[in-house]
Amino acid sequence: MGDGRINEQILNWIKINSKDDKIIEDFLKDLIYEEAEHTGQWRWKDNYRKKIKKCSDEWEN
Amino acid sequence: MRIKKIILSNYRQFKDIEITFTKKCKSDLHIIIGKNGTGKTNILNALNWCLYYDEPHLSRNSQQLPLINLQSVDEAEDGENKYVKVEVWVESTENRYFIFTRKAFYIIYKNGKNEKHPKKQHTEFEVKYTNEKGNTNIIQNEEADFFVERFVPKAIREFFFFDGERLDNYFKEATAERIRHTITLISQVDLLENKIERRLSDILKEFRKEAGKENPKINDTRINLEENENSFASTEKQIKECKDQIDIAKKRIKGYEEKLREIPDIESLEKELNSLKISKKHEKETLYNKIEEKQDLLFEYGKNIILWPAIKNSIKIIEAKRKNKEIPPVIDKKLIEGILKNEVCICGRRLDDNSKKRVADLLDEIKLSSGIVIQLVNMENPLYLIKEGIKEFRKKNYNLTRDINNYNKILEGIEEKMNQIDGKIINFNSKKIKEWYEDSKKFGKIRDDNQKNLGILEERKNEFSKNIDTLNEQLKKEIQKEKKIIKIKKQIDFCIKSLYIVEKTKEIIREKTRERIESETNKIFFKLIWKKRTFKNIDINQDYNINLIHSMGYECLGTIGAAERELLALSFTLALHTISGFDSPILVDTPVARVADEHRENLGKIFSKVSKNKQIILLFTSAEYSKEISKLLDTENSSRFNFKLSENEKETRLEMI
Repeated sequence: MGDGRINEQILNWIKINSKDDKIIEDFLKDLIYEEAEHTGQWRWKDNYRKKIKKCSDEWEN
Repeated sequence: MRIKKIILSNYRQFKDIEITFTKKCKSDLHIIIGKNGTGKTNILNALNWCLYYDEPHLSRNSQQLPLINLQSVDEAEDGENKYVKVEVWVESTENRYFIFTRKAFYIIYKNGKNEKHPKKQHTEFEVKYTNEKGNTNIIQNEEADFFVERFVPKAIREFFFFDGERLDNYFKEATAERIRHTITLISQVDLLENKIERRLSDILKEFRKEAGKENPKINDTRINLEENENSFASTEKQIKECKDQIDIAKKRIKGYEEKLREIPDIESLEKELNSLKISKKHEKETLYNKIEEKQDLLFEYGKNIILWPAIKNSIKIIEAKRKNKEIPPVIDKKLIEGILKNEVCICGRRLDDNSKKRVADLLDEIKLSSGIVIQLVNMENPLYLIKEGIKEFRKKNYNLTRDINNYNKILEGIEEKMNQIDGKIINFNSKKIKEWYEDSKKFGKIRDDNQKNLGILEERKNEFSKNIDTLNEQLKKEIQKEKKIIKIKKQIDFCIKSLYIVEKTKEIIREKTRERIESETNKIFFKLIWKKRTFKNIDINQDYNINLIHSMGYECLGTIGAAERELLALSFTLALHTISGFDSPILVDTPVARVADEHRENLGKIFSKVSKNKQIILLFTSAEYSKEISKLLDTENSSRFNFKLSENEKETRLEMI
């Protein structure tokens, strides 16, 4: 049983592919953990939007 | 992870049964033996029913019966509440327990004929587990499903809970899409693909829509972009369907090729058989002619052959007479007899006593009469001619007999060849083979048509992709120009970049997982296979097609035996377990059902070996659990059970052996 653990490879490759964009890296990792915890129905849209708004504010394009 | 116990209450044949799988020796191997109809396969169904709320291995018989045990229905009062319960106790390596319980509630009613009928009410599902601190938690229904997914995900359960009878078609039926799906699941790429990517895309669309509200130009471009994106997605779907069709057609063609490779060239064998039939007819005709010739010869020489001993004797006599100079005659016997009778010589002089005696002696010397001698002389030449004829007969008879024997041998040879060809052909129904050729051609056409279509679709997809790039660029510029929506613009860019990273990560992970599963499957298969030199490697290609490569270099998945296919399935499963981290047990119903006798032992050894590191539960029929298997596994198992059906056949009881 995975005990809710995430495939480490996913986290590693998110890091590599994000290059030095720490905000996007953390944002995606956060979503991964969140999705792994929620298997049934949940209010993902609000959650996603909030995170995007917050992260994009801090984000330097 | 291992199954500690399964508790069944009123589930089908099982009124009240608890099967505890305690590991008592090095092998975590557990065996359940039962005759057909005792409900062995329903253990597999019970496990599926408890965890996934379905019974994929239900027999036709069981399908017609209610889930609830018939004995318990019989015993119930009218209106009494009863429930079916299946509990699966799972034990983790850290000695933590997860107890999965599914209950289905029933009310038993009596009808007018006094027959009892169960009416299903509702179902409950829960998981009870101990957390790291040792506290017990109970989670119900949808949330409990989450724990099932962490034990054995529903989508890949068939790689954990097998039905041996279906294993024969395991990889034959497994399309590339199924393996791709499995890889997506075990690598958790589905989390990126079906959750994060999809949701980010939806939100991106919403942001663009919001931006469009500020400027109609942006909105027009957005609508155009979305239309292109939808067309792109639908084309991709069509491409996938097209590829699936090609994949299926290729697999079917390969299957036919493998089947046809195994059979002899029936067409040329049939040609050979026909030419042998013609030769046989011809040789037979010649043989009959020779026999007839011999019969004529015998008829011609028959009398002489029958008389041959007398003829031979006559010749002998004549030859002897000649030797004795009795032939030809020198003195006429009758003349001498006359002289002796008249006592007068041919010169007229009377014979004195002395002369008489001399003439009498001469008469004694002449034994044959000259008539007989003449007859003998007359016979001599015809007899010699007959002798010559007999010589000729012998020669002709010898030659004819030799020819007849030769033709008989030739015919025997033809007959043997014909039998050999018949033997080769008899196992193959030539009508069926022709059908295979035709079907193979049909699938060839399907493949070619889809390949053409694929080309067109790929081109269309590229066009949509270019349009999307252009429109994205255009939209970006338009949004850039709009000062009021700086924030939304940033959010859109953020989503786009996040989606790009997710997409890239997804592909890398999927590919790496494919490579790892391929390598691990190879490692396990070649460690376990008893034929070390027959196979070269297992290949899971870029399109997720699994193939076993023969040492001669050709793909041989379609032609391997059931035992090898089962081992391949087992190796693939064990590889999935390793890569996915789902260290769950393996349960196999009728594990050697399709396996030839000589390989059952090999497979038994493999199960025993694997059970040193993983829990294995095997459900055997009594016939399957042969002497050889019993000799091998009796000492290797941790527990062994026997299922016995009650006399009224409504309940199965468990006996520990």
